[in-house]
Amino acid sequence: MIRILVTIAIGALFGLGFGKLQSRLATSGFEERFAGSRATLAETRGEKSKAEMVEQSTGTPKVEVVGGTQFEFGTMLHGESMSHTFVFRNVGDGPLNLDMGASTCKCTVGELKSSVLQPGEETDVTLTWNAISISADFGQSATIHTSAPDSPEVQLIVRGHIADSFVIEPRELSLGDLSVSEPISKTFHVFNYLKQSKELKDFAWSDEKSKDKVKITSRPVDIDVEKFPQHKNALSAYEVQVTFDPGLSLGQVNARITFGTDLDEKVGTLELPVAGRVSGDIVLVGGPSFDSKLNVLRIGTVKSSEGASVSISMAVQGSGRDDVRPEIVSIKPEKSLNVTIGEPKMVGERKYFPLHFEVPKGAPETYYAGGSPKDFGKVIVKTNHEFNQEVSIHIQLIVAN
Amino acid sequence: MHQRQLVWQRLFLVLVLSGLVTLNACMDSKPSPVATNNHPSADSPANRHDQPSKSSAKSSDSERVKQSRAPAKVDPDAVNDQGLVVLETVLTPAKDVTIPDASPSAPEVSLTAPGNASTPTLATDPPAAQNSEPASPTINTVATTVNSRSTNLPAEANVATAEERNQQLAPDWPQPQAVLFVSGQQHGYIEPCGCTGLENQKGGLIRRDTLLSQLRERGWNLVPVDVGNQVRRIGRQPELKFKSTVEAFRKMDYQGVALGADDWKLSSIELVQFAGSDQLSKSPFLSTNVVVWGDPSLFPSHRIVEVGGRKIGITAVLGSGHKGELQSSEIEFFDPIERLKPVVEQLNQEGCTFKVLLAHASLEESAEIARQVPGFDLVVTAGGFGEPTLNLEKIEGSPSLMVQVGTKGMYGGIIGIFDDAQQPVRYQRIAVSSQFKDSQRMLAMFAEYQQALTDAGFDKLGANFVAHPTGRTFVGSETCGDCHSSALATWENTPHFHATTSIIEPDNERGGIPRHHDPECVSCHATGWNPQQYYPYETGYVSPQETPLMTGSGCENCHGPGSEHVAAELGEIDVTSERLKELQQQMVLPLAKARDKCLECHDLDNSPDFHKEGAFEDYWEQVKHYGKD
Repeated sequence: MIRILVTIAIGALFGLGFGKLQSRLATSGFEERFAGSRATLAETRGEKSKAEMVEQSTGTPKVEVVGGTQFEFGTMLHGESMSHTFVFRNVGDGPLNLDMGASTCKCTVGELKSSVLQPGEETDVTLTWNAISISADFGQSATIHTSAPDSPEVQLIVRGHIADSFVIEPRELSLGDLSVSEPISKTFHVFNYLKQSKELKDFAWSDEKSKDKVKITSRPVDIDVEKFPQHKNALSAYEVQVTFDPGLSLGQVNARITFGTDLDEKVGTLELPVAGRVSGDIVLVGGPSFDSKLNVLRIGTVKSSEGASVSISMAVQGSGRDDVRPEIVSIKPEKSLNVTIGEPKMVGERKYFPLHFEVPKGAPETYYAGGSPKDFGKVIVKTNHEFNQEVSIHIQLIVAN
Repeated sequence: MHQRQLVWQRLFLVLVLSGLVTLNACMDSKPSPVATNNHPSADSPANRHDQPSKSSAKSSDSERVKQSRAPAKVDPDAVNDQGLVVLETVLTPAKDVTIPDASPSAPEVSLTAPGNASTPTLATDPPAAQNSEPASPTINTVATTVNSRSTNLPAEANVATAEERNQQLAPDWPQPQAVLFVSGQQHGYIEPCGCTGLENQKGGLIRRDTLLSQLRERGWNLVPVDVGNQVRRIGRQPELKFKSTVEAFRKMDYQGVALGADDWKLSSIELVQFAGSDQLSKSPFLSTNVVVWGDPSLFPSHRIVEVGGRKIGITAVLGSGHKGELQSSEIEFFDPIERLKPVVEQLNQEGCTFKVLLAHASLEESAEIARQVPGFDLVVTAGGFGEPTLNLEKIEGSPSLMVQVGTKGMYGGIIGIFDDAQQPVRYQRIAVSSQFKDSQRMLAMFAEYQQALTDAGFDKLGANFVAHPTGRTFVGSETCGDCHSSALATWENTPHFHATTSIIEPDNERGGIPRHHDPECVSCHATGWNPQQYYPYETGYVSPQETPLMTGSGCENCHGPGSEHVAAELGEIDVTSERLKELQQQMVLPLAKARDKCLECHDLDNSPDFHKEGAFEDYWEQVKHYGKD
């Protein structure tokens, strides 16, 4: 019996010791495997935690992103996925702590393999973009917080373009101000990313009223990589020329150019919005004091003792532009307002004549409040232009002592 | 033999007891359940929802275990397009940060952690100070951001987080001499549309005005500046939008505004009329290196604002990278660096003590300009993507600081200027969230904008009819329902059915402003429009009176115009049986292609919930229908 009890006691002691050992090993192993627990491992192994290393370091970390913090994917096909790996290097002389901050994008941010870099060490961050958006362009970012004194956060940026099959550059065609009397041409480019496609076809102008005044032609061209580096991988390119004949209706142009390809089934109709304005050969333009729709210059109330001045421009375009000579033939109120014409200047297709309006100091009292059509002053500019021989400017002006 | 039996018996007993005691010892040590094989999986919600940090009590063993498991759950495939989920894998809270127990059913916790986005971050903070705090603001900021994004939404979605709706404005700033408010890259988003709930969305002049008012109520000398791109398209509607924005800027007393590349694409006449200067009327819109009509006085190069004893010089440039985007021959582009040099000299001569450059340029070019033209204290850049950084950036090779503004007007930033040699400048990024209530005067302005669209009409706004690429015309959902009655019944019980009504009488707090004359709204809220280009197809919606069959987002918006199919089925045209089947097949939208079709309206701006993982399947359940009855 005693032997049995002794045996039990020995067994119990042995088992207790063995169990404790097992338990300790199991827990320790667990912590090491799963926790990477800095505090626990530091305690058990006497190693420093990441935070401790950074805190206790005497050197200064400095972060360098090898190859820069931005990467251009260029043009990606819809549905395609591309990645770029940014390499972070500690070029300082103290440990560098890295933490992933906000990612403002749909990028997939790869694992940051090491969050503490000793001097000279490197780590990777991979940004992946899946081109599923319907937007043509994308630019996305992710932020890495660092312990480097001069770079507390590093913003990584990837950007590029998504091409379904064809890309139109620019994405909208701005015509600016068109002359009613002169033809004008604009061009845009189409880049093809489909192997099977050989041609563009069926160009159409959406605005029925101006359809007969618009001609659209296209021709294959070499890809100008310097001008369009984002399309260096396109398979072919086309230059499309849009010519507007004289005689368009005055006012706004809002239309679309549509066209097809030899892969209509797959690609569908392509389109480009177009906007601009058709104006006469002589137009008056000016800042906020001038209403160009009504040709009204609002000088407002002026103290006679102070006087005032303001300038607008007479823009001349079209075939008679070079020979036009404007002159002031009438000023009302004559004694309270001086008007002079300055030296013209060519900008683009237009010649601009500055018109200077001055209410001289000491001008007599004047009252053209502009309350009714008769209640305006008036300045008449005469030109030798074939179709626009006289231009009137209505003046709203009160001169008070 | 007996002795041998006895020995074996004793040995057996020892082993049994050893086993029992071992088991007991293991249980006494009480390791976390996750130490067994029964712990939640790495992808369980407990791990997906990171918890906020508290720099207080030390972690228990089990807590350490939980926070330590994050690195084990890296699964790029599982987080495709959800980069933020992956971000959790690299979170390494400081050693004394406690992460509370997370249960699989734990809801998201709203955060008030110090150092979150609402806490000012000092550009001039000594870095050592950050490192000396174990639970540093940086770490907390990271935790905050990740937690707030745990909804599986792409972060670029216009969705305000809980902390973005509860920001404290510069809580610990002393009285500044002046405060710059920076904004830009509005891209036409003059208001959050409310499609996904106004509470969720960021941005809008209606809120920005309230934010600026709150800052002014502090007695601050506020100097709002903007780095440009108020619109993103060309045509009449963007012009009217630009005009409204300029009027709003005047009301908000903006002191300096750059013109962006997209602004310069507008009609020059309208641009100058709305935003230009002349001798009688000064505008805050500035341009150093882009000149319209050869007259630099229309957009002056700089402006000097005197506030709080400071003389602040503001100037603006368009970067060379945008030169190619200028299409009008009336506009001249000059080298920004050469044009800026004399401007800086002039600002110096006039005694400016703080010089600001509004650089409508990429990040790289903005920095390069600062290096090439020394003297700017602050560069406000239109470069960058997504959210602005939390800190001001130091420009390498230049003493200038740089600030981003983000996109779509979702963020602003305040830069305090102090009479303090140690911290002369402080910065805080601010989300323009629903925290800032609607400004009544901006609502009135927005109503005027909608009225201007109404007055112009679809045609003058460029939303004129275009033949559908298929050559077919729209018949209306009721006609479809003649044969597809169960599909029609399903549709009538979805929000698609009420899509037009919802913009005629919006049910949100801005309901007094109908939007059914706004092509940008109608294109997704009625039948027969191009949703991304904002124009109607022939026979598409005009008004409830003129085209009653085209109200709601009807069948044909997804399946295409049905005229030929209907005519063939009704025997109005003679077709072969093969052609009949072909026409039927043309109307079929396979589920595999449906998602792309939905995305034309359920885009990231207007329907961020649609971009959550698995959202399409959930949405489809709500509208599910198949073919003919």
